Amino acid sequence: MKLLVTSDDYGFTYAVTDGVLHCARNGILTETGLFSNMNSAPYAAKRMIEEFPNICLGIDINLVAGSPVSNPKMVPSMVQESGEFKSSGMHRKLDETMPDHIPYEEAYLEIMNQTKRFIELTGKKPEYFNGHSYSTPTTRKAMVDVAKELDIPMLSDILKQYHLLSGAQTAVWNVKPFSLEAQLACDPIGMFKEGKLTYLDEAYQNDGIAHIHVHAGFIDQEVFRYSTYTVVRTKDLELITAPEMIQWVKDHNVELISVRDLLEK
Amino acid sequence: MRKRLVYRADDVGYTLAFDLGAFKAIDEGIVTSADVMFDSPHTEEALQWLKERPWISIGWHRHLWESPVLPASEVPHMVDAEGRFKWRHLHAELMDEVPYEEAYKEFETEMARCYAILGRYPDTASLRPQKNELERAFADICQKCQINVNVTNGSKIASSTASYFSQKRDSKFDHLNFQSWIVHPDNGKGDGSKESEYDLKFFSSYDTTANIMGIQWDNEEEIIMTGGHPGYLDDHILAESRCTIHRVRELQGAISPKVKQWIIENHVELVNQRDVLFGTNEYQDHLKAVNSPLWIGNM
Repeated sequence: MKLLVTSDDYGFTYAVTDGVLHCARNGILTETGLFSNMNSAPYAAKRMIEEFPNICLGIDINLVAGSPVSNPKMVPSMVQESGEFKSSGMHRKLDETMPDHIPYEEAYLEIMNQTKRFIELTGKKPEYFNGHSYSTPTTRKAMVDVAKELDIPMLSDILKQYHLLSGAQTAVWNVKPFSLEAQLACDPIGMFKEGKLTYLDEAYQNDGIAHIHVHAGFIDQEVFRYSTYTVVRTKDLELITAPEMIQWVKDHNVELISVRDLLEK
Repeated sequence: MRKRLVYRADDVGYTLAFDLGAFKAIDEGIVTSADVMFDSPHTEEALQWLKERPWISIGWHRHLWESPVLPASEVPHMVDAEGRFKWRHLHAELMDEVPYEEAYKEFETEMARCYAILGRYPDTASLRPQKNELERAFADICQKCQINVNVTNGSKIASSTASYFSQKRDSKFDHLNFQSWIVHPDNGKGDGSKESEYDLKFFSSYDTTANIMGIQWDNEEEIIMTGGHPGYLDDHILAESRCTIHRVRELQGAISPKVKQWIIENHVELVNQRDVLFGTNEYQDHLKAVNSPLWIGNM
């Protein structure tokens, strides 16, 4: 069987970045998507490009954490007075009275600028495009348009093409609402050991492809500042670095692959 | 008025994740002293890293919750079936079962590990009540390695952890007015009770930046030591430690631009523990060498 292992939000904070690098060095990670707008993005890009060229590096378009790459005045519907992005919670509140409230031009500009920043930082195009946390029909359209224009595949399209699960479908321990207490209590590596990640066994039985899609990372205060998905990132990290998982991959002759491999076929 | 401050980072060496945050607090923050765990997964890498930063004083943060440095077969009274220290944080009474020789050998090996990498022994350690052979062995190793013990004269403010450090100070430091300032989360009781201050319910209001900026000196002879567990969080710490997510707040305080500004505006003199004990000027010399705005000469 083949296994695709994606961790989102690379470059979100310094701690998340160091956690993903730890997964690249010591775990089964095969691909990750960079937040090119965050303060830690230059550090994240440099380390991944120099140390782990084998890891497929995509972009996670982030419209809800940190500051936009664009001049905030050019994307007014997306930012707070401070110039930082509105959070996904703020957008969802606005959606109650103004659904789909982000204009296409603003979304297109910011998505294009994040992609250009990615290219500046890494010296190459993202290997895939992926969203993050909050989107609207308009932001999704803008993302698809930028991806098409730059000839970059959408991760969601590739997953669909190969009938692979994504995001919360693979992270079955992530049941909303996901309070801090619930995050501390969840146990993805325990679920794996108990055979509850059934999609892995199914892929093995059918000699197919499975996908583990997580948000691995170490945690610092910046994670709490920008996200409600906090300490569970350490549990996600444990899942894809645990000796038991690495042994399972070896024992089952699992071929670790990324989007890069699927596109080369 | 002269205002000297030691900022101590506890638990250095704990895990890779914790240390990456602790190293940030040392290189980019106000940490002047590192209390190292010598039995932890990342101890050796941490000591290698600290060796390159001689301006940081080193404490022995005795842990004994992970695994002995010696093979489990050489310390059978200290370990469980997995080869880990058998008491962890729940059953300290099991330490009473350890013979002196076993404890002495383990502590001696931990210090040999320190010396082999760092080229010296720790500067400080805290003794606990000598109620069993393990504690007596610990005190003897500290003496053998000429480690300065119980250097502060208690905490200026009430805390449930104050009793932990309430051993009588070594009389050779009586001439120093060296105080601890505990910045742990306030449990609101003020009675030294044993309720965990690192409970989740104290997390949202835990403002280490404000706590550090609340430090006050009574006179210019007084030297204050504060600190915390500034580091990143990983699954190992979540599973093993009583202090979990609060660590990220303690890191936030240790690297806070507001705290740095407070240091500058109040002419706070950052010093390490050797500076306090022996009158050296190591930490300020380092700040001067890198032309830090935190160097007292730049204020």
